[in-house]
Amino acid sequence: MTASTETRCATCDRELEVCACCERGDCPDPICQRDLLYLTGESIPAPHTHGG
Amino acid sequence: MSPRAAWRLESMGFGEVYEYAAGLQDWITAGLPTEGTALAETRAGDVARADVSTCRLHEPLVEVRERTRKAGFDTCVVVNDERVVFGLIRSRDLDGEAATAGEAMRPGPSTFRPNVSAAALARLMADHDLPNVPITTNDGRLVGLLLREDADRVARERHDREH
Repeated sequence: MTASTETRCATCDRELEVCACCERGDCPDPICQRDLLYLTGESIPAPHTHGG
Repeated sequence: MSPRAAWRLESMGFGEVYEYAAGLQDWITAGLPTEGTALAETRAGDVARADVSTCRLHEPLVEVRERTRKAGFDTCVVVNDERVVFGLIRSRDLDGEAATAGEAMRPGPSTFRPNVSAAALARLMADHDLPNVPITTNDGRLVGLLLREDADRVARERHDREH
């Protein structure tokens, strides 16, 4: 049995192929595209599922 | 603004109120005028180097390398005739054995919009050990290359102002 080498978003634990920021599979602090957009303010989490 | 906000402004007596269908982010990204303290901080598009070295897919790498280094950059952005970003050739790849820019580039790099805080990108670039990031419009056209040193300077200046 081999150790798991899968990459997961450090924020939401979503499984990733590569980090959305640096595109490296071995990034020590990987982040998914959705959380990257939240972090940079390019997108904001929807406060209500029914909208404003 | 949203249709609701536009109607509310009209009810308050403002004339010529329009809905901007593409939304606030698109307005800011296009470099149109803004007001408010949240938008006052230095953005990536303000300090990105618009004169970054660019090349086309089929250019010989040897020519791209020479031109890029002569311009004082260690990264070249591969674009098409519309300045849409196809890839990045960073320092190590510039010195590689590939024949053309298209063979040497790393395709589909992560890009950021011009309205993103330069200080926020400084943190990201440090955390992910990136020497620079391309700044593009919503439709993928190159605005410039944000160098880590420029983003760090903005972050330091912001820190000094706040403390």
